[in-house]
Amino acid sequence: MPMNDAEGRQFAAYFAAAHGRVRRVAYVICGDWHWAEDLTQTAFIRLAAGWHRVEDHAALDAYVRTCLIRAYLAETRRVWRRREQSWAELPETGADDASEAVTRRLVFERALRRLPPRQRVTLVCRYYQGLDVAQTAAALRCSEGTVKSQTAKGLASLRAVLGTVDLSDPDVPAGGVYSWAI
Amino acid sequence: MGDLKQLFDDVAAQPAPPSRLTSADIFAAGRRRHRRWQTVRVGGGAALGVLALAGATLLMRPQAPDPRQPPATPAGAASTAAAVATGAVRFSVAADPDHLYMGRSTCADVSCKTRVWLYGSVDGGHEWTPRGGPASLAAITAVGPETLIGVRDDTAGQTLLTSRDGGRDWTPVRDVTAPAGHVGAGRALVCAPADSAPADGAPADGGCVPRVVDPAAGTAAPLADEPSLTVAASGAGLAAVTTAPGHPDMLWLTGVTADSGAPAVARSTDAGASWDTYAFPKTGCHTGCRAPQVVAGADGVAYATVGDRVYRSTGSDTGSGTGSGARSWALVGSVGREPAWSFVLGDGRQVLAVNGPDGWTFVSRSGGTFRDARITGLPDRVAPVRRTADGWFYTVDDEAGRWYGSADGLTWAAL
Repeated sequence: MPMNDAEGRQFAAYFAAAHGRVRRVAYVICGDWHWAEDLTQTAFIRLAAGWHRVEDHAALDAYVRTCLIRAYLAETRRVWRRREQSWAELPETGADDASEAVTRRLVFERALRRLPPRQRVTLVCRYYQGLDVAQTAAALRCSEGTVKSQTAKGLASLRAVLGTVDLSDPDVPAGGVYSWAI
Repeated sequence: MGDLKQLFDDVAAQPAPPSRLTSADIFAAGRRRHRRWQTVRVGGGAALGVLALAGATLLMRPQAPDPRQPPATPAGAASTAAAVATGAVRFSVAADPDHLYMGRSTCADVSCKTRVWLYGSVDGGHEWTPRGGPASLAAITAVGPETLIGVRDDTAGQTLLTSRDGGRDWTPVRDVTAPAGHVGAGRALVCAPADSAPADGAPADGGCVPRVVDPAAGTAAPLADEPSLTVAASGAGLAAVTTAPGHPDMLWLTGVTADSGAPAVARSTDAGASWDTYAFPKTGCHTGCRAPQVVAGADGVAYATVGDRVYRSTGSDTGSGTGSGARSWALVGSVGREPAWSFVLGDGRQVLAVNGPDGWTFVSRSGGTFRDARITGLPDRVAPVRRTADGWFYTVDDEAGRWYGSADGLTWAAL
């Protein structure tokens, strides 16, 4: 479907720049590429629906992030989605690819999936995207206290599974691990 | 913290499959969404005007109802559908075309989670009666017109409940150790949540336990012959069992094999007395396989969706014992993208709902390929289509709370 107006071209430019990393964040949150694609689509459709109202393009990343998180949390409350996302135990890694890094990643992915959705999203916001408590609270539309408690619970759960991984420092350096900037 | 950052980076660094999203399609879908909202706002303004006029004529009424409360109807009186709470539909189930039930969120935003008002209708959705709440009901299933099984999901964990009066009163089931030989009339097989479920209600990854619930006795018993697979755990614990309309003895459970973790389906043709299990190839399961989705038609034909692959099993297939079901499932084809859900038409064809930029795209196998299924009368987004025991098709627009029914699965009408 061709886009023949200025708004469409602006949206296309932003979509081209942000689509890949938004989709990757969605994958980290949900752990499934198909679902991540759906979440990304939902977030960008909501952005497109309100594109004519956009005045501050610097805030687009935060808006898409909020849309993505809300879409994910809404989906996790649907019974059929819960069913669809029923995961089996991860298979044992074979002898050929049993490197430590692969094993750590698999264990970490499994531990992430075991977390309740809000704890998972909170950890992704704080430790993958590098948001501070206030930014995370804004993205999740909850209080900063809730972010702190969700972070503590999520880290405790991860620590129980991962054991030796260093989870002791709750602060994230400025700039974070992952930037939403264009 | 370096370790945690690195772990997240490792997860994010997984190779991504090609994306099908295009900015043009997304932008067009956003524009359509915006136009719909404009229409709703204009219509809503007109409706408010009408309501204001109507309100002026009803000033003698002592007080307005609290929108967060269920309709203030007298005991036993029915309320119209318009008076039903307006929160999103959290779950819905039809015992037959007349007896419908739905749980609606107690608030319009996301803070309510599983707190719902339960409503029931005995006339096909024309009038709805509040059945109580707010309650932490996560899901219900119907065994009979007034007989329900529910799952309460709160800080104490997940608890199985039964109701024999259409959801007005609920009683926790009593676990019994004596196994049930089969499901039998008036009972239901549910994949019951374990009593040790996490307090926050998160589904356990280790599967759930199929149990035979007898609402009349208020008991839940294990199966005498349990299927040899790890049954998929669902958040509400009631969705893993598939039944065939008109064939109460035919049951399917989905999960993964205990040894290899491959997607698997267990089928019983004798109401759960015995099971045969079939494991599908582990196609695309790099970090753990998900359970297949199984739907069944009135003639006993069943379809299993594994990723984007569709398999078919006919009702005439037989088998007993683990692995003998390998003859029962044949690959139909690949949709090209994993469907979200599917259902079986009255003529035995499967319709798959694939997520599109502007809602579900319904496709069906025809002429060797998957084509537009020509579904009419449904909005862009609805819950998965289900069928009652007598074969009636139904689904719900969860956001609007509107029900849709169909006799053949192709042509739909709002109730």
